[in-house]
Amino acid sequence: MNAIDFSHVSVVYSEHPVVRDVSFSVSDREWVSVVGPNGAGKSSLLKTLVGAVAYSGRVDLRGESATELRGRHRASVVAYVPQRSFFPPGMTVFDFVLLGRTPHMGPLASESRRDIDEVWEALEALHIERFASRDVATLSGGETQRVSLARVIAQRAPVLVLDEATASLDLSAQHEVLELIDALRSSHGITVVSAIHDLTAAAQFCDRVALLSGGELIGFGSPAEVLTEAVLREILEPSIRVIEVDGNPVIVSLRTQES
Amino acid sequence: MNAGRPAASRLHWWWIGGATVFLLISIVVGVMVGVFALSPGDIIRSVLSRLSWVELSTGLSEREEAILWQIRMPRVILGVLVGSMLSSAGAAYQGVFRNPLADPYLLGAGAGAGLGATLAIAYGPVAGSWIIDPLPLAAFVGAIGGVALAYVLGYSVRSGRTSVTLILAGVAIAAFLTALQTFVQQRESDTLREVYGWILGSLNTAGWSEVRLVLPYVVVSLSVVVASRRLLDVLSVGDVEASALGIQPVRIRMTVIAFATLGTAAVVAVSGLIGFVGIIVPHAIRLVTSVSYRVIVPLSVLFGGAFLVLADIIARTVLSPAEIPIGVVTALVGAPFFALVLRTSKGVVS
Repeated sequence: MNAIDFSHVSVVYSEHPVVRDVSFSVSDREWVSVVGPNGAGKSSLLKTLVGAVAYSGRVDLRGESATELRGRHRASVVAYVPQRSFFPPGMTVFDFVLLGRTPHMGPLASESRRDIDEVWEALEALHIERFASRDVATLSGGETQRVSLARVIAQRAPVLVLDEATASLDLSAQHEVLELIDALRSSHGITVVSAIHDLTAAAQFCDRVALLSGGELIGFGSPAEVLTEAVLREILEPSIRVIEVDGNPVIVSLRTQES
Repeated sequence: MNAGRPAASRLHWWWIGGATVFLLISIVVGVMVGVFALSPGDIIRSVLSRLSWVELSTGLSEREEAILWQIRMPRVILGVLVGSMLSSAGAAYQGVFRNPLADPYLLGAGAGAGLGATLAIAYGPVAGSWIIDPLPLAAFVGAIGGVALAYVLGYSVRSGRTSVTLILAGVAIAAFLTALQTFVQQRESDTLREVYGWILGSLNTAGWSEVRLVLPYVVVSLSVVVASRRLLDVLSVGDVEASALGIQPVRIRMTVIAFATLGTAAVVAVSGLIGFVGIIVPHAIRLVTSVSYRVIVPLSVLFGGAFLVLADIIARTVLSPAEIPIGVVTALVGAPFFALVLRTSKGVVS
């Protein structure tokens, strides 16, 4: 069974189509990145997985239609990290991670011993136990992403959706967070779907990439197959070069020299 | 396995215990203080003697008994209900709108009640000529009507239905209703004093009938708001993330607003527009304890009641036998107190 099946998915915002007839599947425990220029429809496509946009076509999560998964049940299947999570000032890291337990609690219930233990495990998995009582609003960019990931771990959802979760980080923090996600993927058996701008990072960390342009799926497959110089020059920027370093494609944009 | 480590923000028993004791002390002081001072011992004896299984002579004269049970006690109990309701409704509004400036009157409950009351005073039948008093009824209907209008307007927006559009709708409705109210008030200037007095709020008409009138609304409303306290924490990360965490932000917001408004409308109907309580009590609690609504909401119920009883003592004693409008006291005493808390706290407001 696939973790995710997109089948002829379209998203339209007030008569303006942003995703057009996109179909592809993500296998269990796979990491697929959705890449493409700004406005390609990456975020909108990912939002269909968490019920944050209306769409036509069919989106299946582990065999169940995403529209039929509701509320807490859906949240126990798919976890979502937006580009910029909102970190309520004054809230402790522990309380923030505890929010991940929401789908496992009755609407009017309080947290149980088990919920508390799950939060500690999540904090330990990301080595941030010492932050437990810190104010989330005082954390650095890399630390906030760890806290977001801890919340996802506490949520115990088998599918993780990351919408540009590393876009605001510096190069080393981005790399560290992507490594963490990869480690969690193997240790917790999680399927990851991420929108990502950094094509080089996508090529290094992901099993497959889905390339979107103008809402349409231009290519889907291994990074080496999809991220070719010819395609990228056409949809992104004519000056793009794809260089191979240690067998990985490195995608750079070079300034055109006027002679 | 995690003994001794910091855990989730919890409502520690000593906070609840301390707040309850503070509330009880405020009630006793509220009943003691007045033109005829009563001793705390006499009050407690009189309360115990009312319990059928305790045989006790109260030591109070018939006149003192009447002052205690017919005048002071209903007024203090009503103060508790009004203060608890406005404070916890304020906390609830701040939670659902993720806005520290929200108060129970934000969506037009205050302006609607003001218009209703003004219409009743200006054009309504003379009090007592109807089976029911038209003033509280008009204020109640006005408060509910104001919020309902804001809701309809806020959700008639085709795109971008967010809590911000709802706030903007509330601001528009409140401005409109206040303008109507001012217009009526100016046209019927002989009612100015009465309207003005009502708007500033007072507990001086309180008898047991007012307590009986608002009690069911307050109990239901407080139950819903207190039960929703953890969901308010989930809402604090925003609608998209909250719904990804498995809750339905729009439905929760509507439910909490509906019940908070119901209770607010009921207490406003009998006490007028007492301001500031719904903002400063939850904020003072937030500054001293935690930003978690799991802590703020229950403590707002207890401290809000105590705060209003204490404010009412000042309102009726400082210029006795005249009364200062309680809305003036809540702001006059509340603002410096709040400033003090703000200065000495960790400084987390939003």
